[in-house]
Amino acid sequence: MKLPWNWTRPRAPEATVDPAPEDSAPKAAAPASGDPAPEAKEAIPAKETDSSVPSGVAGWIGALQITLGLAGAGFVGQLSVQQFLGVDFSNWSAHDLSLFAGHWAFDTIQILLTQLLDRPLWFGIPILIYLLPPVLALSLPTGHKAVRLATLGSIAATTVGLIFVLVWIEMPTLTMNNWLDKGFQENLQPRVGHILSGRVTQLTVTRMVASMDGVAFYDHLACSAMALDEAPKELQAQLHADKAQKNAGGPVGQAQTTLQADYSIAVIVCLVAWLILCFHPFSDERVLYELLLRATRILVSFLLLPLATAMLPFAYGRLIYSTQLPLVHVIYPAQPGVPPDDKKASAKPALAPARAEGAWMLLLDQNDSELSLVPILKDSVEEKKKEFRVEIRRRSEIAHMEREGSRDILNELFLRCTWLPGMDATKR
Amino acid sequence: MNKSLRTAIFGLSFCAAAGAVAQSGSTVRILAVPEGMQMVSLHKAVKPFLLPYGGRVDSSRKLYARVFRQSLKELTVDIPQHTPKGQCVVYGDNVRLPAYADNSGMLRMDDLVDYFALDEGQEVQQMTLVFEEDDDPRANGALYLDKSAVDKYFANAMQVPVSAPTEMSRQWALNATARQEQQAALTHRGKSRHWSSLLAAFTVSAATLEPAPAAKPVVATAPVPALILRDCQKVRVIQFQPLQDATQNRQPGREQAFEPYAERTSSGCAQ
Repeated sequence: MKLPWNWTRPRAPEATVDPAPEDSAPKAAAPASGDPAPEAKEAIPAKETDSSVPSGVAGWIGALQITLGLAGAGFVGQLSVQQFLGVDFSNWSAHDLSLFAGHWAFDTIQILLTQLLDRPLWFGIPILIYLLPPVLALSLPTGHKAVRLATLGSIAATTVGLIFVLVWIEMPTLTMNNWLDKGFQENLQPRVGHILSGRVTQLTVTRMVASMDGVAFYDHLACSAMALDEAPKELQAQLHADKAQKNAGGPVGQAQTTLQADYSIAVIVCLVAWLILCFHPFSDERVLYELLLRATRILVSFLLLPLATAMLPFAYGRLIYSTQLPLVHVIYPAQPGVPPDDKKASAKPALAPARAEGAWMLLLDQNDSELSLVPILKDSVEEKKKEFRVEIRRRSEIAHMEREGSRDILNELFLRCTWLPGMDATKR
Repeated sequence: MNKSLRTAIFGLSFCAAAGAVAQSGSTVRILAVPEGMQMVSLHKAVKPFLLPYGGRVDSSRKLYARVFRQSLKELTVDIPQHTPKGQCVVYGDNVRLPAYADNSGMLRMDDLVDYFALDEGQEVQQMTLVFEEDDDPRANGALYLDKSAVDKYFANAMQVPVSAPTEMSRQWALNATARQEQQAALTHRGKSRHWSSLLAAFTVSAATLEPAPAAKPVVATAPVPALILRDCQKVRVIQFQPLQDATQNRQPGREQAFEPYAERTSSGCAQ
């Protein structure tokens, strides 16, 4: 039997599965014949009368749906970042969330392209194998023997892929909370009783190393008085590399690449799952095998796939989203000076006018009335004891503010080296 | 009085006068580091490079930092130990950089990042900073210290471990690879020339041959003098006098930081 190889699924004579071609058939046939069939004539006005919404309004509704989708993704992502850092953000308008979602979408595309271009074989071949069953299932005629096997393969691959993504990449990020507040020693503690404790620790350490710019190097840490042997084993594993495996960006670049690769896998699996489950038709055969397949598919479509997709911006917020914050030089209005208290002082020539005080801060968040600022960390023992603090200042309290680049807030904490076990604030 | 004695007296008096002139213009005040800041945390070599300090600094003051690429132990123990008796302790690998204070509790020293980047491949460098005030006519040269002045000079040093950001390390790795490739290309060219010259002896006349690479000229190095004729600089601890406030915003809790505690002066022609 010669199979027609085209992307439109051929209809089997007894097929009852796909109602769409039946609807579209008269419309497609109408232009071909000189005299259109009366059914076709009736069908066109029927469609016009069905749609009670004008076309312009429909466009607006579509745009609103897209905005809502973006805002939803932005909400999940921003909430993830907020919980991850353990700070409060004040901007939750649809506009801000859409901006975050746009950031997420652009970063995702960029990461996917980078990974595919950098490692075409590592990513390309598994993707092709993963896509083979659904492509076969979609392209073969309905009655072909291989369709059932291909369908089974595609559903199985989707299910396994989504479970893997949820368990291995997305769920372990749930435990990464309050990193600025909690302290890193606590993050490095093994999670007793957790099913995925090993994976959670591995992902946590990888995320930490990704922010250790200027701290972690191959086979050594920049923190003085700290031998690598004394560091946690998970960290040692991240810093150790054979000569052939060494990345030009050091362990930091390697950790960032690992996180991006994990995230890319999650995105690709979700995209393929959407393709398979949306475009593949249901079968109406009343056999046990088909019913099981149908049940699995419903489970995957209504539970695993939405969950894995909703977790994508969540995982992005924890693994990929940059924690760089603007470094600003804040100048406060000049305070009134202290009057000279003795005669000698008053006999001196007039002093220069009062000078405004300034401070170097990281701008965490801002709204119309307030700014959330994180002071650049000092090195005195008293300051070190306070791991992290946020100052909320009214805009009226600030005379002037200049931006001077940006700093990674996590990196600022890692540079202090107090996160290592046995390196408390008073030891240095 | 014979001629040689007259020459010696004239020389000594000239030397003393020159030393006095130099001494009068080269007194540099050494500043005390705020308490608790003798050793600070790891800093990444990125601009703006900010060093914390307690207290406040008037904007009229011109602060500098002598930046040494060695640890305090190397500077105060190892280097003086290897200096013969009677000679100055010479600190060659150092630079005097401006430090800007703007009443924000942070000293800004962006030039230190460039100085750090000069030592390619050293991902973590232990910098030692000695803060000074006033202009130094010998700011760009090596520092010649009297042995007795070493401890006093470094008594208020600040130790700053500085590390390279990933981008800088990556750039260094690229530079190293480029150098290796260049070296390999040069070696290959040298080899091919060798073989071509051997073959050319049989095929072409000597006139058409490319000239062989000229041997590197031997640079005649000047003999190192056994005695370095320099005036060793001495350090004199001065009596503590609180700095006068140049501005009106004097606050009881915030005293002036970087108070002068010593002076570095030339000792004339003692050597």
